[in-house]
Amino acid sequence: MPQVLIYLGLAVLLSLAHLLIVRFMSIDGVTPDLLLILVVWIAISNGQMSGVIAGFVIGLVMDGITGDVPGTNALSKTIAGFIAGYFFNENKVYLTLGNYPALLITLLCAVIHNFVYYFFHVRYSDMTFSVFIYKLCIASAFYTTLFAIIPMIVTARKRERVQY
Amino acid sequence: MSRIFDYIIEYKEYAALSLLCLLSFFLIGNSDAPEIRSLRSFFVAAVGYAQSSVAWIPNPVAERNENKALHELNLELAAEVGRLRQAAAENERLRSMLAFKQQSNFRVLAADVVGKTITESRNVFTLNAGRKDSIAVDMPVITDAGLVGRIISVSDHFALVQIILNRDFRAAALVARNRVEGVIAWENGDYARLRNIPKSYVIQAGDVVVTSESSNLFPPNITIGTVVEVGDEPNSLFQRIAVKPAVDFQSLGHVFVVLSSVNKERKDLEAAYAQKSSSLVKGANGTNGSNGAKGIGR
Repeated sequence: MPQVLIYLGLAVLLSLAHLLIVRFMSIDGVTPDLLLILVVWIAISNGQMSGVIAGFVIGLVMDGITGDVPGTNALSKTIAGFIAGYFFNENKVYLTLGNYPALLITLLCAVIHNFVYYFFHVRYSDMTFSVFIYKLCIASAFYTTLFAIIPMIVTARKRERVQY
Repeated sequence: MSRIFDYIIEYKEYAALSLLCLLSFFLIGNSDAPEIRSLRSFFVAAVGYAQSSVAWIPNPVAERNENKALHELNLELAAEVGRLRQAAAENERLRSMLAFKQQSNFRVLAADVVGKTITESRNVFTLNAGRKDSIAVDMPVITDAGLVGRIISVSDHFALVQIILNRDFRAAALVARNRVEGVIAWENGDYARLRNIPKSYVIQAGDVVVTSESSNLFPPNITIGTVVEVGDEPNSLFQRIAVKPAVDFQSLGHVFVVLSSVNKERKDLEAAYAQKSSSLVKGANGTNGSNGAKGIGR
């Protein structure tokens, strides 16, 4: 239960960050998705079921704060949480999160998340398919992955402390 | 029943995924429902309030992008202003030409100057109208400002104009103020010369020079230009008069060709007389033979 509260607190904190700070990090309209990193972390730490539920709830919160069509973030983050949950291994949680695999999983989930999420937006815009793929799906996913380095380092340090 | 339940328990992750995806689709499909809309308005208001509290913090990246976008917009607008100014000037020019065409007593045909051959002595313009537009050799070419020249060659769709500033051009002209007649010709430079004006006549700078009734090519009283310089021709009975053409040949783009046919009977009669008395006329004009009867006849 305390872990749920921690995740909830982190979700609120990251939502506020998304609201107030992320606009300063925008590069040509591409911003990192900090809440997606949280979903991936929850899924790798607790498994697919937690990832799916966390993805849906955090997605709904994201829909609320971004003013998006309700359900778009929920759907894409639910799927991302489900995929990240595949890499759950109870005995290797810290090993996965504190190393490069965490970044690769984040990248994979971010690409799939962006594909699903932006699919609903691109349908109503005159954006070309290549811009959709390169800018919105891939570039945005890399940008999000860049920010996943921070929790990866934090987890790696935590793991070292636990070992000693 | 219990087997189904066991099956769902076994694949609970997939069941949860399917359920939540369906729920998401339901939300997407019902995003216009009043309840969801009111919830969204609440969130939007709350988010707007939160964001407005930090809106005062400058965002250098966004400001730089905005600045760049404004620069580009400024450049586009400047180009647009240039285009509009050009269009306004052309509109003004075409309006004055239209007014001239309506006021003109001659039957005229509008044409565009599509080529300018400017050489040392043979300055000719090419028009985008020709024989098929009823243009013929020797037809006068004018604008609302004044005389441009005459047609010297014509094809089906194009015509060549010998402008005033051409060594072969001659036109009978007179000073509008005192009706003193002479011949307009060009040697070099920016000005034409009004020749054959005896020193006994008073010609002043600013006098307007127009085509004469004596010309069998050009309609009378078409402005040729303005006298800008009057001097004595050395070793001659005549004055040296520089005339600035009324037409600006550098910027000339549209002209009118006067289609009114030249009075053939008059032309034939004058040509026959000129032939008969050519020797007499040559003798009378002495060294200025090239400006003689033939020149005045033009």
